[in-house]
Amino acid sequence: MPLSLENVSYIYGERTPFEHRALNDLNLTFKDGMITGLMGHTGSGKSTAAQMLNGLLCPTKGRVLLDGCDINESKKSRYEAKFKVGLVFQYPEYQLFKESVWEDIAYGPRNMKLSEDEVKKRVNEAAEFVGLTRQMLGKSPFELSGGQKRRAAIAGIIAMKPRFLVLDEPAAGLDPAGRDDILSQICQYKNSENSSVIIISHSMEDMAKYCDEIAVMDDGALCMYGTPDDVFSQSKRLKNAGLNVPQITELMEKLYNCGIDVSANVYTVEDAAEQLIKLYGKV
Amino acid sequence: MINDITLGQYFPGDSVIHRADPRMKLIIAFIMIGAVFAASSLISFAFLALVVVLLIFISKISPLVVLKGMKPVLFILFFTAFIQVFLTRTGTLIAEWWIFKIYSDGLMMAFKMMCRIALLVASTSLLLSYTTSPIALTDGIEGLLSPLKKLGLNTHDFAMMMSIAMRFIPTIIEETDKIMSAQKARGTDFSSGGLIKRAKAMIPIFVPLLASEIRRADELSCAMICRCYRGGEGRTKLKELKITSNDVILLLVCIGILALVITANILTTHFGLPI
Repeated sequence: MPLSLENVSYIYGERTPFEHRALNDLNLTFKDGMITGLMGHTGSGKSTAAQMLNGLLCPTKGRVLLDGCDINESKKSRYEAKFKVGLVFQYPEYQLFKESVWEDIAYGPRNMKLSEDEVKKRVNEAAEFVGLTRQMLGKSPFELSGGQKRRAAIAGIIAMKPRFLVLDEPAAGLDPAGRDDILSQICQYKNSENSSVIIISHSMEDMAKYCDEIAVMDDGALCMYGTPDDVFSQSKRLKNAGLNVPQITELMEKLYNCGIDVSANVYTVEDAAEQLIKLYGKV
Repeated sequence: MINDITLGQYFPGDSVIHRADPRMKLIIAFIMIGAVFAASSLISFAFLALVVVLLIFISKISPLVVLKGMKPVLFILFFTAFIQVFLTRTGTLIAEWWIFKIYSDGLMMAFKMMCRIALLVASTSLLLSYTTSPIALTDGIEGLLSPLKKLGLNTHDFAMMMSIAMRFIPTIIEETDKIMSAQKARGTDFSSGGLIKRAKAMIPIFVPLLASEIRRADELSCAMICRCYRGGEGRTKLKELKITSNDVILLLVCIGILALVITANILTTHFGLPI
């Protein structure tokens, strides 16, 4: 059941002096059961593309297909797409509004008109996934710390059990430990629920570590697509798209160019450490 | 979506109207409002409509934008027209149904009222909001209010409050849009259900919006204090406002318009000319 954008174009503020073409004939398919990374420099149209996926924005031209059906076909299909494709916005902590964290997470499932038992089950599951304790669930969302708020907001979408979970910069502004926590919890969610995840991020390191496939956007169109190995081995093209390879890759490339016997195609710190240890023995 | 709101939005450009002194533009806008209210005969409305068309032409603002700007006042427009049509009981009876009676005078007055409101909104937004940047506008207001300083009123604080309020309108619109999208992604339905259900659907927007605006106000005041803001005392301006010959011509044209409208009134009421 892939989710795909077919020849999608989108223009903000059409016929005003502020007209801006955000997407330009974008073709992109997100495969099932994978973590797909969506990268691109600021203003390349990633966030606009994300809002296309659940019918929040309607393409000026082109179609968005889920299960082979156009999600913008009717008002109803557009509304239902929100439950099939869950979208977590950038800085989602600013959307919390209920009197308790538990109630806030339950907001989405309740809109799906689920039974109260089912809502309860899903909320508790989602809270567990993102690591919110029972005690935190009773608090007001405004009493939580920034990182906890972020978790609560992500749980609010996870509780809807979408088949595609789209996250726009889920780790932005978090400390390194928080980043790894949230991203690995998202992976865990994908595996246990058998759903698909799309992560939008600027962090090459996170992308290399967590994604199965990576799509790179430039100027509202797809510019590269492939496994992290495919994408990060083409550092020149990435740089042209306003991005870069992970820092560790840059380092390994430099070592390789100095004539040290390491592979230049290393994308995570763990792999690099392994290679260097092999070369020089245990430190 | 919510971005369609154009009332009170500035469109950058480089026309005679864009360049005019904001103080003068404010005065001209007041004279135009006077002219619109003074107009009583159909010919003066037609004349003022022509002036608005000319304004659109000179300012190079798209007529579509001006029409879109009318959308928020449509309700007021039709509501007043409705009241005029059904509550006026003079002239010849045209139609009658149940307790409703429509008279010729009522129709005429309703039509004039609609013209009046539409012209009012179109001319002031063309003269002020579409062609004057918010900063220029507050400078203009501060300039016009400056005589009140002698009475001990703090005009600078007032102007600063206005400019902050206006500066943040687009930011708040953007923020509202973002929060609305985020809640829609969680299945909030803003467009169906009765009045109470729709009002309830607003809670998920207003609570986060209010929280974030309070936070923003707090941050802004900190940032202002850090940059040593201390009110208007001894503050100088980078761009001093200056009245140019262009402004004087605009003012004279505008006074001419007002004079023409008043003349048309005198001709119709005192001499019974059918114009």
